[in-house]
Amino acid sequence: MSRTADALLAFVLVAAIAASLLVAVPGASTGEALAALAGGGRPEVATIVLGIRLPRLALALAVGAALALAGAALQALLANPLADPFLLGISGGGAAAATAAYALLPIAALGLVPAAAMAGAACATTVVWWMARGPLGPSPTRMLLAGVAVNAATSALILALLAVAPSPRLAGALAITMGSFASASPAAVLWLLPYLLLPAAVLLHHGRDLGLLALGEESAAALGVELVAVRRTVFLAAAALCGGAVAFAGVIGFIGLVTPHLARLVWGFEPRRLFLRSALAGAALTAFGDLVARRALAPVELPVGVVTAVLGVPFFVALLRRSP
Amino acid sequence: MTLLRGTGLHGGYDRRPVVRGVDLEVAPGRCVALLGPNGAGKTTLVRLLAGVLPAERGTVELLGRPLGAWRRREAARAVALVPQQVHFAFPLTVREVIEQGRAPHLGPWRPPGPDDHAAVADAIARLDLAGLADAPVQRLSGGERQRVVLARALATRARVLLLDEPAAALDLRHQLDLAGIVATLRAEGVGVVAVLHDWNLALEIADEIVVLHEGRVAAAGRPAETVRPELFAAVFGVEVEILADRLGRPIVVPRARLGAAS
Amino acid sequence: MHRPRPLAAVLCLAVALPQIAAGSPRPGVVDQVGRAVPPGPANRIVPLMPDVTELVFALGAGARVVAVPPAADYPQEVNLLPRVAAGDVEGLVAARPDLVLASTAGNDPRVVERLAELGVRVCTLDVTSCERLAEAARLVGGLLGRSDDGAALAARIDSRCRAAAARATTLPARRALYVVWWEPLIVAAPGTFHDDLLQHARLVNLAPAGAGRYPRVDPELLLDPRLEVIVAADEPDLREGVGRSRVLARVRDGAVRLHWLPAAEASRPGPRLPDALDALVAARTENP
Repeated sequence: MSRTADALLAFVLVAAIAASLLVAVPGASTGEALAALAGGGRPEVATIVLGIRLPRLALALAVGAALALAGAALQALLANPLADPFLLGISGGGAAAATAAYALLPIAALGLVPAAAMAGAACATTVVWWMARGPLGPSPTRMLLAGVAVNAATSALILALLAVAPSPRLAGALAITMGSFASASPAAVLWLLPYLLLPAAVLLHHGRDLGLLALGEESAAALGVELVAVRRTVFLAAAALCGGAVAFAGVIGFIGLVTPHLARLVWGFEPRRLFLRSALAGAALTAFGDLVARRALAPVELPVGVVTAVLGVPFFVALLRRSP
Repeated sequence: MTLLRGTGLHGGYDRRPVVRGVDLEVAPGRCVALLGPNGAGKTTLVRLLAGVLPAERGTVELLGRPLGAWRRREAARAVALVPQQVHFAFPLTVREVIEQGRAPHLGPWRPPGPDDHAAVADAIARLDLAGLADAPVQRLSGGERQRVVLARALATRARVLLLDEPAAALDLRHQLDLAGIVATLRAEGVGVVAVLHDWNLALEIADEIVVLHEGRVAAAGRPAETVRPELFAAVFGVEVEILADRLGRPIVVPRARLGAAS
Repeated sequence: MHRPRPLAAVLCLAVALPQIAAGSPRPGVVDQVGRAVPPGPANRIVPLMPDVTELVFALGAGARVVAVPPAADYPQEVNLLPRVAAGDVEGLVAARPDLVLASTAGNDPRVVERLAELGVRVCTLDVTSCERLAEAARLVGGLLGRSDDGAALAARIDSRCRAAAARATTLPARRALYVVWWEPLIVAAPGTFHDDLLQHARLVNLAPAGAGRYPRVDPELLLDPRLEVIVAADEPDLREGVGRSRVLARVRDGAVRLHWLPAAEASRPGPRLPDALDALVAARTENP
């Protein structure tokens, strides 16, 4: 069963990649687009496929993988299947800082928006951390409560910023709140990918520990997990992944929540197998979501966060109905 | 040679002391039953012994070395804990839960090998879980879950087993099975500490009984010696009658409350 | 002249480092937001806003425009051209432009940045006054290789604006607001081309400075006793909005004079801006 699932995952991933790159290039056929990938074809087709679509696809894959991995890790860390990178307020902090930077900075300084987002995510992480601290590391319940508080504060801040943003900046500011890969560029991808690799590696390394944490803190400690160190490390790694995602793509919901569930349904609970496949499934789903966001109402582009929510809600309802 | 020794242990939660100076040790092949009223500190003591809860004062020595000198995973290979309550947040199968018991031997990367599969299969068989092995653990009854968690601890093949109320939800048949399992473990040289409420079960399986009262040891010694009506009156506030079964082993029968329970 | 402030220049440098590493800065023209426009031909022009579209046509280079934004409606010829939205980066690239003209009056700076990164020549205009409009005419004229037409257009803009200001000297100076939207109340602040219209017509802008170009303000500003004149673009939404506005009573009594300007000319900082100015001065003359 899981071999078939692996094959299906590979297929969906390849299909999403191919469709994103090759379908409906303005003024060119799929064949020309394919030629552009190989290095030939007209220069403007090459610019579109390699200069616009490829970085955008790379960003979508990276962000999707990061969010799914962070979601799987946080669900294990909090021993709560409803945990989500949002829930802990990290995305909120990043989005608020990004919105502030985007709305208020002069044109020349707009390149600093991702840095501001990461700083905002780091701030939110610190606040949640501080509010949730306990003798055995950050306590899951308190983390969730702190996350709710931080989310409320950052949502209010974002709305206030949207109210005062000058109108040419409004569309961009909304794009942060609703998620968009439109600002993808080769530079963005080059910044983000290495940044994501380290926390991802840390989480994959702690896969087994996370599987144990999901059994509850007493059992986990008894089975050899260094509670304090692992909780701290996992929380920080998940926060870093989330901060990076928000910094370059804004707030994209449901991927972090839904993908680990889907993956568990298909591949079971074993953490190492689960995490890697969650990440790949998240990448595929996000690439597919971005494709829908671009093509559904072409030429108008939907925010990808809206698409993932629309795709995610029915899934979520189905999940609730079948859970014990 | 002592497997696990706690000396002068003090520990609690949020600065509230629960265990106030307890000594306990368990040797290979011996079973220590830990009894006492609710809130006496039995679970806390077990957590201190397992190293899950850091002791405020006192030391725990595992196989002769202080627990602080052990890495968590190393210690987890030597001591297995069966907690009192386990909540399963995710839909694991019974087999998957039991496989977690091998985690201390596997580390972050090593996949399970034949030894691990054998340990898991053995645990499943001993706890009569073969029919439930692929069932989701969230759908099991309380007693079935207890057996699963016990099986998980057995799968670790540790040298010391700490059981926190392992029989609380078990039916008669499985209580008997539990007694048999403890006997087998003792024969294999495993040291067992079991928190129990059922005195008769304790009398059957234990080599030593330790009674905790308000965080301190109220009585400790061979079962026949500790079972005295004065102890029950002082610690539990209960009047008991002590009978003997056909093999001469004592049976404790609670009869009436005595004044206000302390 | 718009010179980048030192801090912005340092930030610019820090952000531009990767790009600088990628290719040496070439000498060229500097646009109105301080970005260098590399030299090159301008045979396939794509304007991103209606104001810039009109400017290109006014400079006589309409034949070289290959696509126009969806909102462009003047001159008539634009209706024959394909439309490409400013946010559609792929569509823009597919049109193979050799010069893209953007405007701060509505273009998302990220899109402009993206295009520049992809190697497209982009020039951004920032028309905040009649004077800047004339500069823009010269700038774009130079880029199109029609410097003479640029200079002539600039001179016409200058002289018309000055003439209108001269006619306005006989009018009483009054305090005014340029209303962009009634509810929420959005007005034009100092530093915008709307504010420049007011100033040329001898009106003092009551809108707050330092809160952005088109701030959203407290609707009670409409009831400020100092307010004597309101200027707005004659669009159906705005006509309808005034009927529900709290200032209607004061307009009816004549306490506040309401001047409607021709919508297309007043709403965009393009070459027809002097027409809007003339209309404003005429309206004021009729009702000083």
